Amino acid sequence: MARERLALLLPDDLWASRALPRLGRWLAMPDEVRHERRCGPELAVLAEAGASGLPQSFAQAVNAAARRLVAPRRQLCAVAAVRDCGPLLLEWVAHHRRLGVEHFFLYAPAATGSDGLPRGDDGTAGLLAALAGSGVVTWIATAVAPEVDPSALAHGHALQMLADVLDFRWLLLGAPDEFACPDAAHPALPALLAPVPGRPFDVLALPALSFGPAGPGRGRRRRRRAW
Amino acid sequence: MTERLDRRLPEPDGAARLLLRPAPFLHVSDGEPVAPPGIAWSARAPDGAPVAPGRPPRIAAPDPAGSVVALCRRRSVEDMVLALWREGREAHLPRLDRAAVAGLLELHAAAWMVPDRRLVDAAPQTRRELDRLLALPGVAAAQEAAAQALIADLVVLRRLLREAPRFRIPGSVEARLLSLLLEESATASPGRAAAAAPEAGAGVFRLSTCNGSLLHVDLVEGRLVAAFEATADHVPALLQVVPSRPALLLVSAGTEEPAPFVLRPGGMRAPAHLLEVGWTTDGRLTLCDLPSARFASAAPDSTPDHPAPVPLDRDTAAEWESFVPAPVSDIFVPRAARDRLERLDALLATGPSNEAVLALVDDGPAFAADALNAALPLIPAASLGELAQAVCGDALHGRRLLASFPGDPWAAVALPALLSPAEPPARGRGRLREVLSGRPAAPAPRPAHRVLGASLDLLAEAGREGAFSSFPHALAVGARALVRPGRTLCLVATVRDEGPYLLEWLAHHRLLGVEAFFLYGHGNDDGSDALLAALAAAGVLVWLDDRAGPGVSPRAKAYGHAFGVLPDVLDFAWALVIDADEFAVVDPDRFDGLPAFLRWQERREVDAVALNRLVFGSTEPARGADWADTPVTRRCRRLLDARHLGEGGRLVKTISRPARMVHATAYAPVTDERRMLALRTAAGEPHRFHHPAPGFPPDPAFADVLRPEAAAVCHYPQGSAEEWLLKRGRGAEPGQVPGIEDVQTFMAQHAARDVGADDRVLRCAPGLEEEIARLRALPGVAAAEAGVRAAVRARLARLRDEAARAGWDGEARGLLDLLGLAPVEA
Repeated sequence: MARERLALLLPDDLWASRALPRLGRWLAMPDEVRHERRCGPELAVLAEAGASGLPQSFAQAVNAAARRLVAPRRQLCAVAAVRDCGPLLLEWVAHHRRLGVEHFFLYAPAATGSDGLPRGDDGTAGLLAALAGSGVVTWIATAVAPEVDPSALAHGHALQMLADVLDFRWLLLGAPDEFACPDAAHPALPALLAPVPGRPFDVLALPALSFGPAGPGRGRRRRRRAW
Repeated sequence: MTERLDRRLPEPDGAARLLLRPAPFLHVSDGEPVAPPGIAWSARAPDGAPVAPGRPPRIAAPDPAGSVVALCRRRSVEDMVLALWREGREAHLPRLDRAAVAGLLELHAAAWMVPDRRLVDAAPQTRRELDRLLALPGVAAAQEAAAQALIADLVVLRRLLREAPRFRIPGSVEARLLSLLLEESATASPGRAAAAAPEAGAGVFRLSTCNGSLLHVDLVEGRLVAAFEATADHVPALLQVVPSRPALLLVSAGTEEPAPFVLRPGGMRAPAHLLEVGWTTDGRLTLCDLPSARFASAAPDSTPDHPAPVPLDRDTAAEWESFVPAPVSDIFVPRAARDRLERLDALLATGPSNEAVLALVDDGPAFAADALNAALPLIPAASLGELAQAVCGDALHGRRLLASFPGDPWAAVALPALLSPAEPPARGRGRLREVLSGRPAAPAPRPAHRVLGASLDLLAEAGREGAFSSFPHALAVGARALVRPGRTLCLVATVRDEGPYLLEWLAHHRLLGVEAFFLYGHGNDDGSDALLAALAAAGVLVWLDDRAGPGVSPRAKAYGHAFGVLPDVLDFAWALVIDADEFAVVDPDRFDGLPAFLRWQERREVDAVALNRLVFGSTEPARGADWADTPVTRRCRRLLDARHLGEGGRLVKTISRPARMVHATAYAPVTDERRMLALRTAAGEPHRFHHPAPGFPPDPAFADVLRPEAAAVCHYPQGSAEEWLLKRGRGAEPGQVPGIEDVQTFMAQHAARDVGADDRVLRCAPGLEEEIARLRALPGVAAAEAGVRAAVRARLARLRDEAARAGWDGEARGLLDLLGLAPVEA
């Protein structure tokens, strides 16, 4: 009731008119999820709103407080902005499913651009549609101006607008060319996230290591031949 | 693909990657989670150590062997470059950042990476999970489609690196990159990728120049200009990236109606041209003409009132040659421009191969001509003949293809004349048909008198600089090069009022071994049309009766027709281009005629032989005798010294292979700009022309050295005072007399005492008088000759009268004495 009034009172406020009503709907029916969503230009503001930590509106603060009250039922999901990764995306999903990621919220440009015209496609859209159809991922199809940072939009949208992520205790901030590698003692990511008595934590930071192909080996061989 | 990543950098990248609880956080800023004020949170590293908040969060002593996130941006060089390129494509103007590419290459070659098999060892398990995903409905098909798109992009990228040396990457980096790209395992055949050619990358631009003006098409002059504002005559040029060849831009006037223009003088006139894009170090763009490899230059001298032309004539690109692209919204792109680009893209996606060229007409004639004309610079010179064969050999497609070039003389006349069985084949035509079909064709008689109408006037300019005027023009050039000649030597000449000399000149060259004469007549008013008609009817020559319109050079039109359209000359291995006052000679002690001389030349590679000119001065007939009674070669024996000739003494005449030419000047052959001719002197040495006359560019017309020993051309510019007067009066207005300087020049050579001699012209053609008599005996020839003589006498009487009233004095009076005239006061 209060939600509807707030929405009526603040029709232009994204959090009052969109985020809070959605959260309410999801709380009522947490298992009825759509795996294809659209993130239109009206949500582009989420790429920046809240990035300073200071809520821009009363409803935004209410929304953040409301999200903190949700009790998660599942363990681990991943959020990533993906584009131009084509056939490589599937391997990334497979890799992280193996590591215990239960669901993926993937932000990728819609098959049609913000102008309604089809955009150049590298096959990502078709792949996401197929995976979303099977419930493996949720495809949030973005249709925003090119200057909006896709990662920032994904982070802002997932943490403020998307209710579904609240069903997971942990969220991996991923990228399609970044592959999590738990050490030998931990076969999967959830083991890393197991509670440490007396030392609760909200963020696990993993070092990032650049991997590359076996280039110089071949190069050295070639050079020897040349001599 | 991670299974190939078996090395890593020794130390972690400073910024950590995060797993976080979704609820307390509002956002992530520079890698740091952001929570609302007053909400406390804590972070730790995998080993349990606390992590200090910060942007981005840093782990104090990261353990590379512990839990990490593997950054796999550098799976392969191909991957890295592709990602960079796709980023550029998003901006609709694909380009590669040279610093980024160089950095990638450095990393690729880095020897200090340490082995780490974590990803490799985990790959089999990932593979099992991958197979499970692929079993889901639609996933395998979508994965296949994505792989196809990747391959298509790689194909474009490789082609781009191979074909666009100025694609913003320095040569050394580019070469390494290309070799690495080619070395990286290709995932599928290019053929498959071509089917999935990418749609994206079709950016549309206008270009601003170094002084802020905009590149326009001048619709009136038909050229590119830099203008500050569009008018009815100046429309902004539209530049479209060709999707399958992102290093190429299609430039056109942004109009719905076709607006033809040229990129450079003498170049093709077409509504759209391809230009090659390059990049300057500061990210601006350069435009390069494909055939000439020269840059467009917008000198900053255009003003709002005076748009300046933008020529494509610079060898290097600097500030004036750089342009700044401004994207154009789709709504400003006319339907015509889009359709044209689509057709061109379809053509270029496969080569353009012969099959693609022929298949083009399957989709209708619209813009087929534009696409073929634009793609022409990309077709290698060597394959033009093969393409011509493919087009001409395909009765169905070929005819439709040529029909999409209405009004084009090569599509309408030249190619069909070479090929069509419906036309009575001349021997030259038959021989190309023979090449195409493998069957000899029967020779058929050809008309000896043909009229060249004004519709062929464009031949005067088309190809004169060696540029192709259209796609059918290029095909015709390719087809003509294939014709096998059956005979040795023909002669091509333009004649105007040459009646008094015609029989002698024909007789001389017949004795020298010339087998056929193609004479282009224009504006004859000495009665020699009747003589030409009689000789043509007797089969002595082919008379090409030119009706060129005003402003058209009859000489240029004749050469353009002879070497661009006329099939008959192709039956001859050699064509001598000469005027009616010039007589080719050989050393009679070494050669029994021009064919023997040419056989001797042919021992070397040779396409044209330059003959020096021997200029003979005037000789007055004995008192009471008529110069017209004696052949000019028998009368004029005073060989003028070089001092009297100046730079003109170095001019040459040439015997060239007609199948290798596209046009000619009076002095030298012109071939298309993508081929070269082997030019030789009469002595068989390379014909060099490094030292042109002062103020002129190097021109094969001016020989560096004089080698007239083996063969030469005897030139009789004056004959006698009366003949000189006749020649000066040719085409002149009534009452218009030669200027005093002309008279002085004539008198100077007349007075020259230190003259030489050369009797080869006598010894080469000993039976001249008999041969003249044989010609004169042909039906109608003697009567026509008498008509010429009467017309010349009548005109001479008028010219003599005018000369007497000219008021010449000083040494010019000497001329009147020679003419036997007394000055008459006006």
